[in-house]
Amino acid sequence: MDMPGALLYKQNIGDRRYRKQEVQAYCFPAIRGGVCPVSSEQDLFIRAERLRYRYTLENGVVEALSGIDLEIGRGEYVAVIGPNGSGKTTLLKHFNALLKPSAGTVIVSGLSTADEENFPAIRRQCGMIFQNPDNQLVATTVEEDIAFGLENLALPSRVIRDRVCEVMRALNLSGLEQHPPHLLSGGEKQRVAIAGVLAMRPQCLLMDEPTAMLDPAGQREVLEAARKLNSDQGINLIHVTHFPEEAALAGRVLVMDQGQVVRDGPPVEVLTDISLLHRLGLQSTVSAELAFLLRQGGMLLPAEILHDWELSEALCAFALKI
Amino acid sequence: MRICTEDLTHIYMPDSPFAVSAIEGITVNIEAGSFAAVIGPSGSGKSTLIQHLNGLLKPTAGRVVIDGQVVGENKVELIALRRRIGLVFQMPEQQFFAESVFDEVAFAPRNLGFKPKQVDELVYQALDLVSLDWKTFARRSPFQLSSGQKRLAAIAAILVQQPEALILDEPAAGLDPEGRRNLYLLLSRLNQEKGLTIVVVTHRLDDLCALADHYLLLSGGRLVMHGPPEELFSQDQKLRRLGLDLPPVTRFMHLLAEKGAPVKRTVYTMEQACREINCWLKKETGS
Repeated sequence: MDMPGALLYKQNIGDRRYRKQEVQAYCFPAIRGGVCPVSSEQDLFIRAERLRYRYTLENGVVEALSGIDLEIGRGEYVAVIGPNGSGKTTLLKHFNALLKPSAGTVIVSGLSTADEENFPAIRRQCGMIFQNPDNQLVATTVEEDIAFGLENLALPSRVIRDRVCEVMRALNLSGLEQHPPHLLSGGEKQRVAIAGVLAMRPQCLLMDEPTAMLDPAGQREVLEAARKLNSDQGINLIHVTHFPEEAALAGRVLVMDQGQVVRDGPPVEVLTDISLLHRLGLQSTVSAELAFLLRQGGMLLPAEILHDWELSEALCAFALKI
Repeated sequence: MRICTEDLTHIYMPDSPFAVSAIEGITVNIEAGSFAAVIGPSGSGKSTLIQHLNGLLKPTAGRVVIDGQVVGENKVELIALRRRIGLVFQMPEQQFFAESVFDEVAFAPRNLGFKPKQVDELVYQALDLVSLDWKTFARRSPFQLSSGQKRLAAIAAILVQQPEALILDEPAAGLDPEGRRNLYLLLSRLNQEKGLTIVVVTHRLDDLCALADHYLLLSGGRLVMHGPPEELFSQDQKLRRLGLDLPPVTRFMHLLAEKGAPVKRTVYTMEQACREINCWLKKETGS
């Protein structure tokens, strides 16, 4: 009758809430039998309330975040887009307590980021991946770099070796164990940085334009690895990006402008709002943009076009009708 | 400025267990006043190649020839060469150190011994060239600029030396669409109005490749293809094998053509794509 939790995860993958109840019932026998139903509170991972962040410059106070209310559930895959300077990175840095709110609160997994005692616990749950891998590579060989965080957790060396091996395979880095990171290409470096965070098995990956310096193959690998972590292990992804094609992969897209979340919804709603995106100097996916141009030229196309296959099918259907 | 390499090879840490051959036998010819795009997947040797062009790296074998002159070991000549060929690294704004945009851009001319008045004039010209308004930006801290403005200021700090050629490593990385547009405008202006020879390294074959008049495709440290961009965009399969993607709009046109639509595949702007699609649908109406 003992069923491994992981199996339950797989079996009930279609229904997140149901799956959670089952897994919790398995993990915590005391609440088996529905005595203690899972409230929505437990599905919540991050909550920001009236979050403001200000910093002082010689010419006055700048408000980088001005009143953000946001809830992110466990296991959500959220993309954050917005012009440079709109507060995307500042918001991300609040989710692993790299920044403290000037006003309002941020609660990560029930822990307030205003309380310094919570910092280690919050940062172990939320791993940050920066745009430039050079900023987070510390060791002299690739495998030592990936093992750095694990060594600091004082894990047994066998566990460290296994995990380093596992993440190196996942990110296609096998064979580079002994290489000095500074002699790798930009793409390889970024994958080493991601491997170092992944090895810590965080609940949430905070990714700040993680593919800006990768080639398309590297970009695909990183996105695919991240997506798998999300769908197979329920790891949260919060992904700041300038690439609309990447935002379209998420389950939810936030648009930021001047320190506020100005739009929040599924990609098919947010990324097809071309006039909003253009007003902010942003772009949508190529197909959404092309459909927008064709519509302006008088062509009648469905509003929900986001992906290449959707536009190509709509156009072929259109050609048949004429 | 004409930039050539002849049979250029570079091995990092030669004669050690870590010896890595980064580029092998590369022969290229970049004509004066041209706009070249060096493309290739990460690890293909792009950055290694361009660091040879102004003598930052020394070839293990082969040589670099600038305007007919072989780049040698002579330090005085190398310093002069690096003034003539400006190299903009990836994320150049991470090297900012000065307290104001003015001081940042003035660093090179001050060190070259220009008089304060000349320094003012040079910095003014450089900021003007990258369209950063002198009054607004000169006294501001470079760390308070937006990412796009930071990138422009970093490029101004190179342009202030009035180079004849500009080499940029992934200049658009991390910029939003607006910032990318401004950067591309600047590069094509420098090339067409100022006659600068421009070499851009990138792994995204987007608008940038449409700006360039020819491309050099590296893979595994070797030059595997070169020619005008149109030629490149017809090589979907080959690019994918190398880990590169066509520009998204070109990829879409390939998909449409595969579905049987009579549209041209080698399209790389939205406007061209729109025209092609409208043409096709008009033909359908006519038949």
